[in-house]
Amino acid sequence: MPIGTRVSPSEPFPDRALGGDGRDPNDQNADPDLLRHAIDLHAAYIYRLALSIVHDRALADDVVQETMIRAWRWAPIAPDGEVPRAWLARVARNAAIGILRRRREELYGSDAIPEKESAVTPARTVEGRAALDQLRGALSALDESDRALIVLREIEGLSYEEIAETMELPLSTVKTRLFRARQQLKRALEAWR
Amino acid sequence: MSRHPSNQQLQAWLENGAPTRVGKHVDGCERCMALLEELSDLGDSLVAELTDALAAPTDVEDRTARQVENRLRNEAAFTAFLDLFTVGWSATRTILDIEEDSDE
Repeated sequence: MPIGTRVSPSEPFPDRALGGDGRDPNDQNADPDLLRHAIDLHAAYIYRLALSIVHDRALADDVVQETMIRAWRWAPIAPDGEVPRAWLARVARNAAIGILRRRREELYGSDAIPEKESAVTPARTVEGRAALDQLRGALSALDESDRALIVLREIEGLSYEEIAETMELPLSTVKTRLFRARQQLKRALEAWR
Repeated sequence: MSRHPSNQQLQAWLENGAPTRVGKHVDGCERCMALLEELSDLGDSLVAELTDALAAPTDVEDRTARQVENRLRNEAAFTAFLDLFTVGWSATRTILDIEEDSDE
């Protein structure tokens, strides 16, 4: 498997012609086996990250598809033959934010884009509501980047260095933002429970 | 801030980002960064809840494979469709060029 040095994952999805079999004929990474392998290995991971950002299962599906197609075409391949997780997370995060932005523009127009998803307020809690819903509500109080930081660290177990690479932030910023986001999540959860 | 902030100050900074001098201090202080990590720890049970809340569907791999395959097939079909016009236009231009040459 060639070691690719491909386009930056933060670049927009390029409009490249596909071959008749659906693969980019100019792309050495476009191996269908690699695609299925990457999906089996990373789809759930990407889904969780995407869901934490977009808060919508259908949109999370879209992010997973977009990420896998980009990985198939342009992902750098690590010496171990795998697509680097940090690279995938960066692509997924950018795809999720792009999808959210487009959705907001559709809903509100480009002149009035809110900074955050409208957070569900604790007042909407009804007795007996599932703890998971409460947690999702608490998560929605955080901004998208903070949710991504928490997922990458707490669920996916990425190192601070990998997160810094994924989020394109300095290492110390990753730590301080993550620690404050965790505290904010705990507080938000207290408000819900 | 030359001295390390107290745990209370670190806790306050975690809560509201103030005072800002604490933030400046912790940025370059491994000891305080480690304390902040400890103070903000979510705990195993909350992390487990978080994992459940964001769980992927059990069929996410198969579903993604199908959706990606469909999307690539559609893209390929669209490209083939565009190619028909491109080929048609090239052929038309060739014919026109030939006719122009023969007129001369």
